[in-house]
Amino acid sequence: MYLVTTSHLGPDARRTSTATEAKDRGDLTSAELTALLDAFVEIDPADNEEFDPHVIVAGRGAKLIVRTSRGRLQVYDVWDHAAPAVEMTVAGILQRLDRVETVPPFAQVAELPAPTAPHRGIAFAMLTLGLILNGYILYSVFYVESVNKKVEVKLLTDADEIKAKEATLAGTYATGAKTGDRVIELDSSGQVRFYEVGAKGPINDSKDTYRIGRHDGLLCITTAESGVVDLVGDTLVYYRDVYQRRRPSP
Amino acid sequence: MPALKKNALNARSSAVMNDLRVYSGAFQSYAQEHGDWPPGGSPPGVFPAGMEGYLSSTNWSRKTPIGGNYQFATQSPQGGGRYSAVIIIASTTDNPVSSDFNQLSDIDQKLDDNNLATGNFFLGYRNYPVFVLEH
Repeated sequence: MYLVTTSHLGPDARRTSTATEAKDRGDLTSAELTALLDAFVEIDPADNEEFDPHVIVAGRGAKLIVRTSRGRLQVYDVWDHAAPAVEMTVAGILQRLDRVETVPPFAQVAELPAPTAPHRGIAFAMLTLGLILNGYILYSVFYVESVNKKVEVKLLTDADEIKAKEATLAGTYATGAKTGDRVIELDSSGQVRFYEVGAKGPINDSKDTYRIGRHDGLLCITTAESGVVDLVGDTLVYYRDVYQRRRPSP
Repeated sequence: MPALKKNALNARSSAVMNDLRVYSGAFQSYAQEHGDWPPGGSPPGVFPAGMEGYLSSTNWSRKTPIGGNYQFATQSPQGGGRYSAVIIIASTTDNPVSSDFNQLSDIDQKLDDNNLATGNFFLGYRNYPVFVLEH
């Protein structure tokens, strides 16, 4: 069966009709469609030129627009607008309408290889590679390797020991007493002061807090912002400089 | 971006090296004319006493290309030794010196022995860069 609609055609399809632009003729058998097209091809050429009558017929395999010209049938494929008109016989049209397997309008789509796992794998690999590359670039740009290495200090926890150590450590330590020498002052309440002997008094003066701990078996004080000061005997070692304890003047 | 970062690092290194060459030349000139180094003991960024006519006060006082300020020091204890005359790049309030290992190593590589613990350019007190004028 073929679903047929006619445009500007009279009931017998041999003449044009101005009154009826489109008429649904329902499902026709192949014999009925053959009779309609045989009548359509004999339409008066002058009327044909003026009203452009045509038949739209849909089968299982195609939907076609059929026009006539000089006793021949010109067929257009509705699903393929770019395709030119093809001259066909009635038998050819019927065959074309029934040809389901080939489905020419979608042949190109059907021939495209379906996405397969390897393609998705490549895409995923490229995406991953891109992300890694971006991550590396950001890491390279923003990562700064500092010369100030963090020292792992294990803090003393015994309150009595801490108090005793603070009392023992409290005092003034210096690399010397001349201009350019540096001084570290520790008090027994966890405060530390760093300064340099300047021409007109202390320079580069800074204060910090400290706690007592150990690293690599050495007793040390660790400060909030100034790093670690090692305690070696009765001296302090800070950035490899040795600070001798100043004895109070008698 | 890494290339841009490298270019910026190179530019800062070159600027610091140029400053140190100019300043060391000025201090050497002073020492030749006076037979000794100018007195130390000035804070970072403060123009060293006696260097008028040898150094530009404006340039000395400005922030260095790697942060901090220049400081001239004599008899300076640094890294376990004592140096007769040095130029230090020291942090000041709200103006810290760069602690970027790559930046400081780049300067050392171009200026000295590519070792931040030895030579005439090394890290001293608080890992501040130190340029030795005289041991």
